[in-house]
Amino acid sequence: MTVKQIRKLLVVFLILAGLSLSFVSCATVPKEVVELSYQMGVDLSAVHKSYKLLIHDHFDSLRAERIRYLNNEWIPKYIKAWVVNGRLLDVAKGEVVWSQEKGDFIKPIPGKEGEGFLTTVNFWSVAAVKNIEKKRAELLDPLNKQEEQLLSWVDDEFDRLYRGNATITAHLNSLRKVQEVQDDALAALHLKDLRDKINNEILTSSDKADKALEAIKKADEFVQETKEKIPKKIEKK
Amino acid sequence: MTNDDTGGMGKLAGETKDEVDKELKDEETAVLKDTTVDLKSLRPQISDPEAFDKLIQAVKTATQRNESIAQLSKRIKDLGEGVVNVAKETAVLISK
Repeated sequence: MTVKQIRKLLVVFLILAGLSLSFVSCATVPKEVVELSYQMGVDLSAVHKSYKLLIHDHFDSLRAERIRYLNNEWIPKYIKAWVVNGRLLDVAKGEVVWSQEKGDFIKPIPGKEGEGFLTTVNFWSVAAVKNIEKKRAELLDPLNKQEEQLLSWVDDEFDRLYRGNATITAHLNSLRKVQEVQDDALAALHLKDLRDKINNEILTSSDKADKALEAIKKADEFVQETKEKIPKKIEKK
Repeated sequence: MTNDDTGGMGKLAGETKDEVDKELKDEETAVLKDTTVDLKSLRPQISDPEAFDKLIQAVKTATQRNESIAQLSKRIKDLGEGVVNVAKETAVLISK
């Protein structure tokens, strides 16, 4: 490679470097845009939390209304009916006890009245509590399931919003990164007008730049070798 | 003989429950009506998930493109430094 060829190569590389350094998109991305996008992600989380609390509060008020009905209307009515059907007064008077064997009320066994009374009252109260709890579940379980379902939907949708926001923030940040890397070169070269044209070509230029780097390295080696050889030749002459 | 913890009174207690339910049917229906949730109307109505995912993917691709550009910028900077070095060496050669 002659000095003339090296000069030519240098000119080509300088032009390529100058043009390549000038690419950035036309629009500017101020750092505040990235910050705003990030902040929206943070605020979104606060809105999400608030939204879930509102749902929970709403369902709490619905549950409270059903519990009010249970406590004030259903349970008193049930206890009243169960006292009659469960013959609690007769049991209390010592007239009957519940027989597990017969599955019915019987007259107390002489000498075992106290034991029969206690056993019967225990069975009576366990049966009452079981049915009250069953009724409570019938009233509240559907609401609990609906709340769970709604919260799950809301979580899913907010997760999508988080994902969308994070993607946008990352994109804005990448624009910002490109812009920051190239701002200095752009200002020095005054090549703003060329940015758009070069942007379209820039992706295909990446590989070319790699090859050019290789060529530069080779040229550098050649120059080094030549530099070493020339003094020797001069000496010989 | 029954082995449950109501000693067999459960059936009778259950029948009593049914009886009370029947008695309070109208009141209960009114309470349930007032406390019913229309889940469909409360469900967040956001854009089509499939279209959303496609948009996300498109933006991610564009982001990767920008990352490539940023990487290329660094390469070009390295290239520029290489050119300057060669130019310096060449200038030395030419001046000899």
